[in-house]
Amino acid sequence: MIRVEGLTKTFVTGRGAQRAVVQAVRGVSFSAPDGAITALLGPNGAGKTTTLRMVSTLVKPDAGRATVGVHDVVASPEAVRADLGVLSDARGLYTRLSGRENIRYYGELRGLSGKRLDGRIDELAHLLEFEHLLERRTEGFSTGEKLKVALARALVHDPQHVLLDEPTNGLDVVSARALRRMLLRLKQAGKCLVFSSHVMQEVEALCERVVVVAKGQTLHEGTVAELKARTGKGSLEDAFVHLAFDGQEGTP
Amino acid sequence: MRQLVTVLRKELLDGVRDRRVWLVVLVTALVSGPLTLLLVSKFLADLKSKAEAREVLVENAQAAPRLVNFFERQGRVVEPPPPDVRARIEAGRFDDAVLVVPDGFEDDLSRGRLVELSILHDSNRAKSTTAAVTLERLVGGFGQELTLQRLLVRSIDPALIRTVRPTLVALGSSRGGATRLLFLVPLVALVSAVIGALAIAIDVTAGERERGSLEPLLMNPVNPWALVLGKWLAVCAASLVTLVGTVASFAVAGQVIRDEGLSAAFQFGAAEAGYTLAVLGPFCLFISSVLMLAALFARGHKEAQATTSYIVSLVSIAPSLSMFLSLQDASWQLLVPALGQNMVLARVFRGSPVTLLDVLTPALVCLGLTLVTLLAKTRLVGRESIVFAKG
Repeated sequence: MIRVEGLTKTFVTGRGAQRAVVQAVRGVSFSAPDGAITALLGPNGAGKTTTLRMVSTLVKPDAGRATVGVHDVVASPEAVRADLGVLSDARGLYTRLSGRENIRYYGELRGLSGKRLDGRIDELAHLLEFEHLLERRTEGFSTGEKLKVALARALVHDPQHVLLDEPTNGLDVVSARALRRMLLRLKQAGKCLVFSSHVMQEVEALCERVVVVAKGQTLHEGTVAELKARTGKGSLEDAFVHLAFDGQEGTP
Repeated sequence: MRQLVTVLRKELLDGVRDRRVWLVVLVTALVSGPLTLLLVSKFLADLKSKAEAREVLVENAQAAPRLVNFFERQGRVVEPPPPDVRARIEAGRFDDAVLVVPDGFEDDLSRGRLVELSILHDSNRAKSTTAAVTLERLVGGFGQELTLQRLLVRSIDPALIRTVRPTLVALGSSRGGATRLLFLVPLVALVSAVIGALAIAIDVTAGERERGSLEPLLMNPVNPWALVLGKWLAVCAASLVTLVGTVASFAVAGQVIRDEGLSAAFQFGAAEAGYTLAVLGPFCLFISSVLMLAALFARGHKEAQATTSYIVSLVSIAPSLSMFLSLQDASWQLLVPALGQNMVLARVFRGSPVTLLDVLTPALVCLGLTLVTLLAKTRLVGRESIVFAKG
């Protein structure tokens, strides 16, 4: 279970005359239960990535609270990281290392080793359908191939909680389908998944719960059906536009 | 400890597979030493041959038969200069010197007048200056012979005009000229330690962020010390390998280059190599940490290269600074990385006494500063401004 209560975050950008204060998140709250996929929906700049970074302990919140399982992200960042798998916006691989070596590096940093680690890498490569790439250096991999290795790297320690920041961006149909199958499998295994996305069809097909975020605030939290009922719209996309853009497209 | 070993092993594997790292290490270690030695030995050989050249260029030599006779008795061959000699000197294309004899030379000499002789040369070219000094000495010898003859004709004892006689007595070094060129070793080895560490230091810091792998890496429950030390040890390995290669190539080159002048001025054996490694080893640890710290603030490879280039320049000019500023062996230099190492090695190579404190002080300074910079990195590495490069 992931709980987020009133998270806020302000950044200072630029220096001197260019200095500006940006309030990226101004009170985001939601909860993501185990055994479910929770979608974080919002237009660009809504604060989704910053929220996920705060939950993953990389960014410290100015106010509010977030817990992953029983651990607080500020008080016990190490424990949170140990139980969290994150596919972040930045998902760079080491191009001189093979797919297996990339995943093994993270596995070893998390205390795995030997046959257990190799077995887990083989299992993830099978589930994500990239066994044929496992021994190749990742230089020259396509976006989809890179994503599969990065996701396997994030899941190597079999975490209970998984955060995914727009995972299907730039993916071809086949890779996106493989990813969706993987997410459903994780859900069935009782994992708690939170993922941000722009793709409404994907959200509708995968997610039980939807959290709509705009201008750094939570506007709605509930099921897809509840969102549609609240806005009186027949499709998730219309309901999202109505809520996030005040019914006017392009002006959140 | 386990995490440290994991990070170190990954960075070494990544570094070993990076052709840029190997190229820099190989070129710096294997080429810089022998190349510097070859160039210096050629330069010295040219100067020596110019000083010992039999040919002397004299303009209007027919006006000075006695001077020509003196030169020939000294085993020299008098040659006329090329017709456009002045233009060539002005254009910086002349490596010799020319003695200009005025028309009334013999007449003025017979009448006992002071004869002015010009020696044309290019003061910007070492070979031309050497040739001019040789000519000046030859003309001086001719003048001395003439003076003696005049005194003898007047039955005056030539000893009367000899008031003082200077004699050069070399006391500066117990090893004489055998180490004249050894100053090149710290000069090149210091820079090679920096160059060897540079590519990998940037790759494990700014490179990590540029390729987008720092953020996911820090989402692992990694101890900051394990992360920083693992990366630092990999950078140290590259720096030390380059240093060892450079020192070894100097030692091999010193044996292989069969140049008489060079082998007389560059006696670099196992003892000297051992001293060099012992003194510069701690510097490798220090410079690896400093380069990583500088590159940690950069947003990418290019910015990191610009930042670290200041450090490379400082280390490059440190030995020259002590030479040009005539710092001699001021003790405070021991407290400044690069200057301290250079000073200790200069003393070792000169055969001057070196105490244990002299060797330990720069090493301890380097180790202390290394610890401080490592500590700074462990504090910085997880900061939002570093991870997300907000500047």
